[in-house]
Amino acid sequence: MPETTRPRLALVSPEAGRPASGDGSGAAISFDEAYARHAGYVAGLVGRILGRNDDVPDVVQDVFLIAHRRLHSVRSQGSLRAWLGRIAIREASRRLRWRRVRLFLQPARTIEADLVADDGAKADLQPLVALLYSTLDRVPPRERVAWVLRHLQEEPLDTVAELCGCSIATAKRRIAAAELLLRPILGPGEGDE
Amino acid sequence: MMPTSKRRRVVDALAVRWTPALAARVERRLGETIGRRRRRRRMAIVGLVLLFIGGASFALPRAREFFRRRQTAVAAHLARAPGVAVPPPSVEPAAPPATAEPTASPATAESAGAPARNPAATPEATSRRAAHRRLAVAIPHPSATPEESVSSLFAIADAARLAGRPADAVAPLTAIFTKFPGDSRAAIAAFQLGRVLADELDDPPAAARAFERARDLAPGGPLAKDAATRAAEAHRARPPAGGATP
Repeated sequence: MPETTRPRLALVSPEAGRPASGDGSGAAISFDEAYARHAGYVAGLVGRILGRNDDVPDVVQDVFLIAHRRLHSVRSQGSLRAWLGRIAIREASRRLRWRRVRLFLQPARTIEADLVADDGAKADLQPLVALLYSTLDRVPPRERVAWVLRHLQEEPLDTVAELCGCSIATAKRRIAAAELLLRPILGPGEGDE
Repeated sequence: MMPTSKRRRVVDALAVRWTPALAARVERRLGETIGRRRRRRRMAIVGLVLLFIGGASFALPRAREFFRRRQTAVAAHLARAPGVAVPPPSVEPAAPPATAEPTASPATAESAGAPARNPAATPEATSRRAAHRRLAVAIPHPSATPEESVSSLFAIADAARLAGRPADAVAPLTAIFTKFPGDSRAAIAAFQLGRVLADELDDPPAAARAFERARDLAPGGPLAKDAATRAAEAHRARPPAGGATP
């Protein structure tokens, strides 16, 4: 990854928030600890799904507000990450649906979003990222979420299915449906060679 | 492979901005929202508690007043019925004042040495208390209709008989057929009075009169034949030295 020009930014990698080895399950979960440990993961997930940095804080706040209300239902520390991920995906999907409604009502609106592209990325990648997310905006949210989880978040298929709340076959079908639109932009995937 | 590396480069180029300052700002906003939510919940609980306290303070005095009136009504019923002695409602029925305690007679030496007998603990007082309690349930509000009054008089009579005081049942049964002679249950009351007088109070002349009254009140009723038979039996029976009369 290239060096960032703005050192004050903490760039969230897909690995952020993964439980460390030996992370005890069954211990009492405090909200502050959950936020400190998993806010980065939730932000990374939401940012990659939505594609815009300016939406991330609001969605993270909504996710943790829901988590605060229902944290008692989580039985172990180990399942907290997946649980937060599911909430984040649900909230992000809700926001995507609203975005599609707005896009339908204002089709000629220009995209002035703060894209989730690394500031240090090469100049040719910035338009590609913009094109990627403008294409993703035309993909239904469920398929978009599955594709982003699989290809941008690089989650295994079973995790994608778990986070999307569907079977692995359904997850594969959704990913394939989104891939049809995105393949012309990104080219074939690594597994397709 | 160019296409593959292109995809990889795009994935590597993605980075979500999540700085410690941003995290702290979101955390602060979360704290504010959670605090607001807690305050709202606390206010809702306080509101519910206040509502409960207000409701209880409104309802309890009225309930107390209702039961006090009901007790007064019981006492008034008993006071109106002749032959039934009832203490005033403000005084505990079975707890007479200390001054009412009968002093030991000097003529009875053995009772002078015995400990003072508590009248509230006697079987009679206990049964009276139980009868009062039953009456308090049985007797309706003073604003009751005549229909309910017949029922309550029957209840008083039953309570007195169950308490082992058949003499106290005479007055309410008499009241039924004297105050409500047109009621369909007047003949039953007269017949029941006859049975009480004949079987429990051993007063055949009075019983004969009660049975005759039962027959007269409903000459074609189901009790008329039995009443005439029992009246004749009572007339044949030896008259007692003294007893209650209807």
